[in-house]
Amino acid sequence: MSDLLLDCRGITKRFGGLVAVNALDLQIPAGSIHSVIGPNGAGKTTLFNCITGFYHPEEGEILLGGSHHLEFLRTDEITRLGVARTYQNIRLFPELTAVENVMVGLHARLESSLLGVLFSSPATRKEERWATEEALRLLEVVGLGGKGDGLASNLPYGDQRRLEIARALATDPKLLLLDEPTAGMNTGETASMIRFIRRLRDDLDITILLIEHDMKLVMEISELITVVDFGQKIAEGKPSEILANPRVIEAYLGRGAAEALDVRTAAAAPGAAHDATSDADADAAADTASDSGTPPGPEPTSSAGSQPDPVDEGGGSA
Amino acid sequence: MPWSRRLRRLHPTDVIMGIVGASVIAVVLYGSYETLRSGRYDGTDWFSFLVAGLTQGSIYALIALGYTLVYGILRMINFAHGEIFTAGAMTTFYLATWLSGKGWLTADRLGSAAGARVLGTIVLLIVFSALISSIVAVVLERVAYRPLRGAPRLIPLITAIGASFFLQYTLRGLYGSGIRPYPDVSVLNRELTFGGGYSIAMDEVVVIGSAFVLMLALVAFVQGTRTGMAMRAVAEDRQAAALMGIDVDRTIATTFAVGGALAGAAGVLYALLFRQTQFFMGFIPGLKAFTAAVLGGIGNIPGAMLGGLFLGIAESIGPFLFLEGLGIPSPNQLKDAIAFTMLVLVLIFRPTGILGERVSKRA
Amino acid sequence: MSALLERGAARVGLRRGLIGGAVVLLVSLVGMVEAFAKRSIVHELLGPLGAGLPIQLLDLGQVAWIGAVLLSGFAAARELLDHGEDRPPAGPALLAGGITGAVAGAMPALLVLLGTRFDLAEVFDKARPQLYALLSWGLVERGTPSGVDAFLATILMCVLAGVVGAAVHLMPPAHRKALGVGVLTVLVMGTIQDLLQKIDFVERTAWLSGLYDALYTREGMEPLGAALLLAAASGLHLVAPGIRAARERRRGDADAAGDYGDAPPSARERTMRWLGLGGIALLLIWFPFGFGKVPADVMDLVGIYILMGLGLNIVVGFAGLLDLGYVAFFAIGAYTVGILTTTDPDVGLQFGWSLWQALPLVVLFTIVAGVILGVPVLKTHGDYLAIITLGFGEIIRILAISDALKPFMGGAQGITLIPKPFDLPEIPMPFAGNPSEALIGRLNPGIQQEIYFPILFAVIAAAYVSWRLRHSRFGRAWMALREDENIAEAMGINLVSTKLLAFATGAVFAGIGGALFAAKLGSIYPSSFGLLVSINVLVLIIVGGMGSIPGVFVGALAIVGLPELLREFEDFRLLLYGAVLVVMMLKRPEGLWPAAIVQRELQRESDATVLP
Repeated sequence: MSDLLLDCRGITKRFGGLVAVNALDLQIPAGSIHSVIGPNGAGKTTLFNCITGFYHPEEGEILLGGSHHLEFLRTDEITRLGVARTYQNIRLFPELTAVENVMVGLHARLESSLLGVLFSSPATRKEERWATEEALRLLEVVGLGGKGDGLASNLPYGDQRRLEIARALATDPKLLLLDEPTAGMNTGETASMIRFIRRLRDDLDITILLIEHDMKLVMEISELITVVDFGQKIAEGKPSEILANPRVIEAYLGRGAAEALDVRTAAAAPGAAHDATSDADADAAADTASDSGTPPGPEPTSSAGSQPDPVDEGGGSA
Repeated sequence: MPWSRRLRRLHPTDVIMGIVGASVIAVVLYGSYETLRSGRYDGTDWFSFLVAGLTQGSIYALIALGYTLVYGILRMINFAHGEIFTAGAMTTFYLATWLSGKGWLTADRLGSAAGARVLGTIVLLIVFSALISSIVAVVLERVAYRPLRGAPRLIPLITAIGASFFLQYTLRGLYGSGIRPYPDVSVLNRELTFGGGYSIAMDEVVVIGSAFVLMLALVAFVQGTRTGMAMRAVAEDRQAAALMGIDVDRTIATTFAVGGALAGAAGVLYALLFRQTQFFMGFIPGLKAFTAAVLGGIGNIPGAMLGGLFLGIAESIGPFLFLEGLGIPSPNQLKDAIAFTMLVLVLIFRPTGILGERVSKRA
Repeated sequence: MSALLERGAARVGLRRGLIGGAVVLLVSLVGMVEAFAKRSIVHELLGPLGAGLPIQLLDLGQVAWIGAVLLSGFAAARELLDHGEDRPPAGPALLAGGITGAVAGAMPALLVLLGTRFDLAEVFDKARPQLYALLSWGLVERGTPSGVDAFLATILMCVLAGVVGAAVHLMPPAHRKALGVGVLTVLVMGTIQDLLQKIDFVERTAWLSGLYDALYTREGMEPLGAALLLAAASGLHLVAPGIRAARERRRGDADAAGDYGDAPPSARERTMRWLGLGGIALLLIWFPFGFGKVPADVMDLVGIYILMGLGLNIVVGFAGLLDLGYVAFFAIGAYTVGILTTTDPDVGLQFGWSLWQALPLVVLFTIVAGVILGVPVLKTHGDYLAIITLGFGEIIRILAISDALKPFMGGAQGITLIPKPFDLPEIPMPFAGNPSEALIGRLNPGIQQEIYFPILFAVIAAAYVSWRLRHSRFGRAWMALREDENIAEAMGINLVSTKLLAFATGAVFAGIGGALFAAKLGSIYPSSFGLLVSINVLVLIIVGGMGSIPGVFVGALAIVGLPELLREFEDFRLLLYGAVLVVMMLKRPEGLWPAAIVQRELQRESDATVLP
């Protein structure tokens, strides 16, 4: 535990009477790949939203690199400190091109002043050139080379996920939060995503925090897994430890099932079941997103009641 | 969230806005104090301001209900609602003039048979106007709004702005741009007097009374009928309602019809009170009523009623209460500014309104 | 018979007819038919053939209501299309068109029948004998007692129009489109006749005035000229795709090489672009000299609206913040100039500054105002933002009109005696025979338009600033904000400063517009700063295409320029604006000249639908 990048201590987030995250501790060492798993509505995405400043926890501390208190910062300040994320329901800027999406991600790293822009100073021109090249390079990195020209909303679903990662990488993160990065992907795509996530950590030295329902991926890639249920941490450990933990199985299948089933088979089954449902959901979301060309979610304060909150699995969904 | 945390997260702009809000309150308090100290107005004056405010406010409340119903169900501001109000009032003008020519609006006193006929005629006018406005609202929904379900939010709003101008100037083209004087119902000019110089004009009684009855009817409709239940269901969750077998399109059309009817009724009441109609008569009351809906918490039916009454009273008392105390000349000119300032302040400091936005339960 | 009724032709015809008839009634009763009838398009349409007929010329009023029937017939035919078809079957289509025409025509016919018996004018302001005469081809006017012939004539004409409309849909799409372009050209050219009359250089240039005389009579176009024009325009449109295809092919090669939307253009393209820009610049500089006073006056107004449009385009089009109180900044600019420069001893601060001294303060004040009005609305979105800004705009106007601030702002009487920006000597008008004097005379109307050049300069500067910002990190931040505020924030974009920058930039543009407006008119009144200004600006950027800089120019010309020239539109201006807003939102939300990316994607989509 020498080099903690992210240290969450006792964070609690309530929505009215519902406690979405309850006194949760989470320690992420720098350079690790860490997964958070748990049933739907367990509070995983709420946790992400707390870390990235979309929500502000009522209690607890979130420390980045040992010194920055994220719980008091705005989302953009947190991003500038090197925390980037992707979203469960893809959240691109649909009416911008893929390149522009990534260039927006570069925003915080650009420094041209207003005057420089207006008078087209050499420094600004140089920076803009760099930004374009960097954006194209990042598209190349995620495997979208040559597809930068089209509107983000017109990309196929898998490419949209990749573009979201490219955009997150553009902010130059130290910590990357991936919310179900392989939802809706087939086996082959999932395998390449696993390799890609590894490369991010190994080559770019980015610490990864992952929410995922695909147990195969989680078990294969994670160095440490935290299991959350009803907003509380119920288990933490290496993949092998988690697989053998009766509380985890109980959380996924209920008490009766845990007693009746053989521990090992039960551990494999729920993953598959969840995978299937989340695939269907994600596909449906992608369909609507690309059909209508509208952003998948409305604005938060005045949004329609029938649709899920933009950056959330639904505050009251439990 | 604990206060210590809120303080840590305070943005400079929040501080500025806090100071602005506090200074507005301070100025209002100071102005009120000055006025009250000077004793410029006595109890009967304040009473008549209050009644005038309630009268105006009940009209705002009726219009505001239309905004709130539509917002509740579609999450859109029907910018053209003020014109729906005008459409009813202006069309009814001709019926009113005709009936007035037949002597149906003349009576010596309300207690007589002729008085009953006057009241009956007013009811007839209200029903007619409600019908016209209702039709306009439904056609508007069908033609302009329905094809835009699910479009990005700016698009229906811009459409509504366009519809507002279209309707306003269509009415101008159809009925002319001049002011048309509504028939004078002289029996309503009488005053009910109480002891000590307190009195209420009959037209104010009629307006407040009709508005009250209409609001009760609306609540009964929304709470007590199957259609009302369907409306609430669609407002809650359109998709789920559709799955339950509710005809969403029809329910939305009904909502527009009901909101339009209330606006049409308000149009007649407004015309009775001010005795004139003109093509842009609905614009400012429409904005005010929207303010009222926001004040009460848009999407919230009791909120719209309370917001309307509150706005009416604030507008009627405010200029005399605190603007005059500040030594501002002809404070009544700034009546509209009070309404809009209230709108701005409410939207900034409590966007969910006094009673809370009905849809803001989620995080 | 059953073959004719295929695909529910009768039902479609009835429905379209009812809609079309309602539109006809609307345009008649709001007074458009009568008002537009004053503008002739083609003189003696049928030539000698029509001598005995009541129709002597084609006027815009007829275009409005017959056109509505014709388009209804067209729409009826289109409704009969099966998926993937270009052309409906002829029989049912013509039948549907005929029924549409009959149903639609029955409504104005009934109106005439009723109107000649009862006095409808008591209710409907515009239901006058003149209207009935127009709707019945003058038959009513001749005093036929029964009016049955008028009734039948109206219906017959409408049936004809409906059938023609449907028949147009039987043409191959390319021809149909070419015909549409041709008809539109004739309509436009006919409509702008008196505008052409007002242009000085047309009168002065021999071949142009010759062309004018050949094309136009005193009232409307020559029928032959109109026919030739129609043929020429349609023909050009038929040929154009070939030329465009060749150009596309060339550009396609370039696209394949480049990868990003704004790929650097080739050297040749760049020269062409600069040449084009230079040509436009020369034309604009020459404009007040060549076109004369009236068109230049209109251009001043268009220019001021372009300034505001560019500003609101940043706020609404780029950053997605719907501001309905935009006029507030226009008013602040105008009043700042008014208060600082007026020579009226009763109003203002008696500084007696010139416009140029006041301008820096205008910029400063509007930036401050943009921030002051921006801070409170930082946390409001969409609808609420629209209403709250509308409230701000109204508050500013109410304050300007109130007695409370009368010593500074002049109350309802406004501020007068605002000095002109230049102190130019009067130049005597020319008299014949003296060449140098004639030259000065030629310059004279231009110099009268002294404010034209500051406006031109301001517009160019504003367009440049918009364009620079659009392609910078600021512009991208705005667009991210527009698309998704939460995610924009998660990209490290500071929402507060980004929004305030948008408000402030937009405010400065409007403020300069207001300053120039005050200097141009020499006096300002609170009534010039109503909500309508905000709506005008909003309409023009929507018509042009939200977020599109060229769209602002197109929109301003269409929305501000055209109505200024076509005075009879004045009464219907807002009615038409309203209709335009609704129709644009329903049918073409991207505007006439969409932002480049949207344009490209639309192109891609239409390509995709054409190719299997």
